[in-house]
Amino acid sequence: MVTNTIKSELFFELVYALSGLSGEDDILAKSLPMYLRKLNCFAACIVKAEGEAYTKKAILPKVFQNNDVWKDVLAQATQQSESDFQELHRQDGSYYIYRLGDYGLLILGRKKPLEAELAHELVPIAGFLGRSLKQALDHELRKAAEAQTRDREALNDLIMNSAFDGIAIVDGDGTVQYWNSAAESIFGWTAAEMQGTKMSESIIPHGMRQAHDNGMERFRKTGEAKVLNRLLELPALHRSGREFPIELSIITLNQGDKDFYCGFMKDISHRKEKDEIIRQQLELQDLLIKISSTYINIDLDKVENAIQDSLEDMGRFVGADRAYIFEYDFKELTVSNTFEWCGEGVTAEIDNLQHLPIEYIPQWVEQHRKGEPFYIPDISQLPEDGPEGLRAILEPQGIQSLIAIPMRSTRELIGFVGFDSVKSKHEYTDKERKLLFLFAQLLINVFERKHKEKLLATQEEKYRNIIANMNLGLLEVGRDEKIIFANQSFCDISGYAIEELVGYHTSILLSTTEDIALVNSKDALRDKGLSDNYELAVRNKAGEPRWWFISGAPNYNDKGERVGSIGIHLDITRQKELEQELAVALSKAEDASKAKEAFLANMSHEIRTPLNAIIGMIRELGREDLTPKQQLYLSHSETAARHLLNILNNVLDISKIEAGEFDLDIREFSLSSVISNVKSILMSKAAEKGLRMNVLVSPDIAPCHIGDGTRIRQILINLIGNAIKFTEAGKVSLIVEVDHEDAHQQTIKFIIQDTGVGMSEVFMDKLFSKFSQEEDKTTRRFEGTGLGMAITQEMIQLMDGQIAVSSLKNQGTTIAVSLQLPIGDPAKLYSAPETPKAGSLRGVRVLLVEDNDMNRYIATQSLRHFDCEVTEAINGQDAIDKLARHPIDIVLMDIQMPVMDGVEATRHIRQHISRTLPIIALTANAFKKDIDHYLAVGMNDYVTKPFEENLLFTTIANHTASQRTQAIPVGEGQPLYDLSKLREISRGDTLFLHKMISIFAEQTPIAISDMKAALAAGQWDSMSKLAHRIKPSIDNMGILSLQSVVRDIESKAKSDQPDAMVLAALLAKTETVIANVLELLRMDFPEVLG
Amino acid sequence: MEAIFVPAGELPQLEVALIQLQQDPATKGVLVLMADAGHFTHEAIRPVVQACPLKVIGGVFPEVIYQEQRKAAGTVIIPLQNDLSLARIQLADSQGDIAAQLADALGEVTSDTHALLVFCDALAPGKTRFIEELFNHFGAHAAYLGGGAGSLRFQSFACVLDNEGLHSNSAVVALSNKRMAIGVAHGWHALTEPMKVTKADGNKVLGINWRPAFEVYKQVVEQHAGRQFTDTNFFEIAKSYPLGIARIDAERIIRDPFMVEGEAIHIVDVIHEGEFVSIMHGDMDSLLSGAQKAADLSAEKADPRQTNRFCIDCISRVLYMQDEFQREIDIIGAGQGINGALSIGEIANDGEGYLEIYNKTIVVARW
Repeated sequence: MVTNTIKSELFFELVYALSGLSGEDDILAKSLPMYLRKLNCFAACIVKAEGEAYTKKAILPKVFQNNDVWKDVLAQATQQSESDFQELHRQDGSYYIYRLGDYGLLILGRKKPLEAELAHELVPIAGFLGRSLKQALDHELRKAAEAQTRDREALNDLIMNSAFDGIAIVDGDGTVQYWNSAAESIFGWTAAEMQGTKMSESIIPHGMRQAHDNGMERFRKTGEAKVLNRLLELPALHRSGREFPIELSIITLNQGDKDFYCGFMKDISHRKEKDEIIRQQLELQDLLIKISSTYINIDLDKVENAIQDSLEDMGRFVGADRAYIFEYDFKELTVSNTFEWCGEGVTAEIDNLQHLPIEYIPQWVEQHRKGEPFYIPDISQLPEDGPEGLRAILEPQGIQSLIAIPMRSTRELIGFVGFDSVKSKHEYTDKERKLLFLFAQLLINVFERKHKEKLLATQEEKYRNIIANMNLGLLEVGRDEKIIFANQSFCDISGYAIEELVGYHTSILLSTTEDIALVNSKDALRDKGLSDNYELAVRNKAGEPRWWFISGAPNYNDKGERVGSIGIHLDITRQKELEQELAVALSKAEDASKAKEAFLANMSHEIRTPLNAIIGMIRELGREDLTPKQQLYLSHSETAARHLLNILNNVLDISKIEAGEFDLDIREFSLSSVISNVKSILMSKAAEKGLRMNVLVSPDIAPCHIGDGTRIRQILINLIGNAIKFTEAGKVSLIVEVDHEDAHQQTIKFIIQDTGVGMSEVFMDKLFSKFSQEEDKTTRRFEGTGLGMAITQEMIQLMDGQIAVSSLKNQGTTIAVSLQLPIGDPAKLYSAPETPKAGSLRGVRVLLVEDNDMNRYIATQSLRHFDCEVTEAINGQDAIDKLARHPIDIVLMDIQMPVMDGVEATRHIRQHISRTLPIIALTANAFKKDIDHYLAVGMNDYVTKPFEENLLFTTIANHTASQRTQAIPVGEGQPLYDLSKLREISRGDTLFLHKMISIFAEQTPIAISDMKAALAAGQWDSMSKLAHRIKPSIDNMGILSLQSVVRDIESKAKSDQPDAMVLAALLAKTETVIANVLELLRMDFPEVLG
Repeated sequence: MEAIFVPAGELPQLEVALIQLQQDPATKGVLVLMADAGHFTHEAIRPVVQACPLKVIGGVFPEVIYQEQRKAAGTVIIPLQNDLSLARIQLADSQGDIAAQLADALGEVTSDTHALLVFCDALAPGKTRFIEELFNHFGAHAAYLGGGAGSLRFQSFACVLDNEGLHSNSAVVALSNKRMAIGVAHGWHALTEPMKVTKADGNKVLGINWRPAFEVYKQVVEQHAGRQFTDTNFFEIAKSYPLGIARIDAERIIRDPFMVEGEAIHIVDVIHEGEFVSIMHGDMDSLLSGAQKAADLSAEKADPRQTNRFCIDCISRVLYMQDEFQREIDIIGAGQGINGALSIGEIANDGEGYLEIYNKTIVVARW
């Protein structure tokens, strides 16, 4: 039920909405949505009556535009078109049709019928809408008709008045009949003022009125008129009395029996002015071209005449009677007239105007300093008692006007150029002033050029003097290599007199054909404009050998053409002698160094070889069943042998440090493991001496750092080993703490404290010197090379760390080492090497190549201890022969052997037998450059002799891992696929799981095939998208080995320059893995993929 | 195929779900309704929906409903078996004529369109104009279903979804040639006779019956509630007293007052000057009966093959009913499993009249 209040407000809204709208389209656009919304209709339509026909004017919603239902409703509605209201109730809804007066119909569609009362009450509302629409329509039609009539009437006036030309029509008496608006604006007389008056009384200049009247009279009598139908240029008179030029053409008009004359008039003042301006500009242009070209490349000795001529030209152009240039001298505070031109009958003043005090012309200076002209258009207008009596100065010279333009360079005010008008006054236009400024600028350029050339001449003189007086020999030669100039110093160093040089070829100075060729080669450089320095061995005139250092350069004339070369010569004979002496000394030192290196390498090899046998034998003996006494002897023997090895290693480290070969091996390592290892090594040593050893490690130490863990271990062993060595009672402590840290690195502090003998201050100063051990009665009993601390310090410095030592004699020593270490990724830590156990390399087939029987025996024993199958070879050739007959997994290769050494054998194996067979150098050569050489020829790794059994074991184990384990399908131990994620997603829905597998099996090969096609066609975008598409499948199928591969393909294919080779490789891997996965899936899920 | 729920942050699961849904050739599109908490960002979801060959429409809502369970986080994916045409409309003020955009995006409209899914940024300035223009295009014969996307933070962000990702200040429309059965109800009843809105400015009602709006509202509500408005308790009381816009022989349109500023009452959506409003009231029982009515209406209109149940329910009903809201879901789900979104403003038309944005209303659909 709709309340009356709502109804009345609703009707008000529907009516009110139309207020202020007068256009048909506006009313339709506003009213239709209102009816639709306010009456909750599903559709609303307005149709317009046009005679018998109805046209759909607007319909909402737009979807009903071509709706058949509406066609039907409309047909029914128009059948009873005379009634104000009708309703149709159909299956699809109720339709209410209201007559919109004469305009047409409003049709409203509703799902539910309207209340009958409301439907009827809408009749007058719709009527109002109809009237509004009709009125809008009528109003628009009326407006259009009115506009048409008005337009026609206005057209004629518009044509006449919009003409640019003034149009006047006069009758036979010369009385004005018509005067258009353009004529009004040209002459200043309105049409009302002109109509009915004689034209000759207003717009024809007085001097021509009689001629005009005569002409009119003649035409009336004879019909002859010279002025008709021609284009004339005549003077005319403006209402203001101003005379101005017009262009006029007259035609006759005949209307009935009367003749009229129609004149078309155009004000051509502007055109005339423009013509004058163009004439002046052309004149100006000619003058500027003339003056500018005068000064281009003018010889300086002709400048003065040119300035004089230009002054005259400029003076004449601006109509001056005198033109002049004054130059300021601000040091002397004077001003002088330097150039003057005077017109006919004007007296020259130049001689009277020299060194005038500046204070005479303060107004000039003030303006010129500001960059502005000093300009007096009319001297007579100056006050009698004006500033500084200006008028009193100028009037006696007969000057009526003057202008003086400043000549200002970028640096300073030079002077001014001025123009006097004596015979008459002259007012300078803007254009003239600009021209004068331009002229002043040209003069400045000339003045500056003069100034610079003068400066250049002075400088050249100065440099010639300098060169003449210095010890550098100067030689100037022509293109023909003949000497043009030599200074005294060159004569001194060459021994020749100047006359023995000038005019002669430079070859007289050169001793050998090589020197001549060298000097000639320099000529080619000079041609390219290049300078250079070189040394030359020559002989002076006396035939004594001399060394000259020569700095040569091309020499140009003022046109930029190369005319020869110029060279500065320095006698460096003494320096060369010193240099040669130094080179000899250096060569001797290098020879000595090489000899030392060779000796060290040789010694190292020679000691290591027997030491290998000793340590190996001790190791073998240790495996035997020994009595306690025998074990003690063995233990002492091992200690002695290891000590010897330690000394050897220290000596090698020092020599590496000296040779700059000491490198760090930077990688991820566990500091905790290093400390633990150090502790396990040294704990027993401390215990042997009855010392307590405390190790305190902060829990804040990161699990992984990046650095050389082996060298840090060596540092700690050195320092703690020393502490144990020099402590007789008490304890040795190692404290490891984090001194400072951020997200990326930690500064680790190692503090080693002991309660030992301590050091004197004197010794602490040389603690880090090589071969230093405190020599007194107490310490003499300590063994060692004295190299440990030097090596330790070197290693710490290489790691950019610090070491600090504090010690008190007989109380103990504290050493603090600080190292900054980046934090590493624990995932990248190398797993701890396996501890060698008997039999743990069972079945590995080793070819042991070793010429030394003892060493071969020891190595064989160790290898057999691990259950390796050992084949022995006594040299490289023997190894190659054995390889041909025996299946081998790994080769242990000695280097120095008779017949064929290890390097040669490796080369042969790599070229002819196998590229992949692991070859491990087992060598007593421990120098880095040797090791690098072995790796370069194709060896995979190295173990130095004497070898540590566990290092040998680890190395073999690492290189034979694949032979020792069963083949893993693909992906280094990962399963080919992992469905756990998919199972999780499937929430136990096996069908879903099977469906996903089936989709994967079906779609992935297609995608890969598409990717191959995209790769072949270079369609990178497509390839990237395909990779993107299979990415979720690969993730969901848990194919870990392809997760990064497929992402690589996606990103690399999208990059600016995709690399087809790389993408092909990635795709090949993807295809292989997918093929393997599918094969496995077929086995695992036969019910899905069977 | 049934709807799938993907927990928040599990983008691979979303990808898998979309692949899974593609397997049924009958599936032409998907409704993707994300709960606000931890929803996928535009950058994350864009490549997934771009790669999806199905038509994607949806958005981010304060909460979603999956199998009759409210979900404050996660995404409900509902397969659609209809042929769909998609359009996205810019609703920012600077985007000019929305009618022209609709005409450009949809081409010539035909009466083959039987249903429209509509989601718009609840805070977009051109939302009301968009709804009016949409109705001017398609009229009442089509069924409309959708709602305002966004979050209870009431800050604009990219919240409507199509195959190009998430967009702010926009609306997405999907035209379908299949029919939907829609039931709209709210369960609020009028406390007063209709009163004329004599002054309004967008979302603010400034005058009612030529008196300051809040003065009129306060007088009625305080007397009925037996409580006084203070500086801090407006929403707490007003959530039980929304405004209802009167329409000629149709159910009132509810408007949700959420704030008072001087004499101006701020409401969630627009009330035009000249409208007639009543102050409404409801309690738990009446609101639940509203839910029952919406369910019944959609059931009446549906044919037996239309078994998929879907709802757009107002998040402010949740705020009002709190824990009892589950009862409402149980009523409309009737144990058959219902999915949907808890929106900011509901867009629906029961096929009988003008299209409106509702507040505090429940829309139940079947297809």
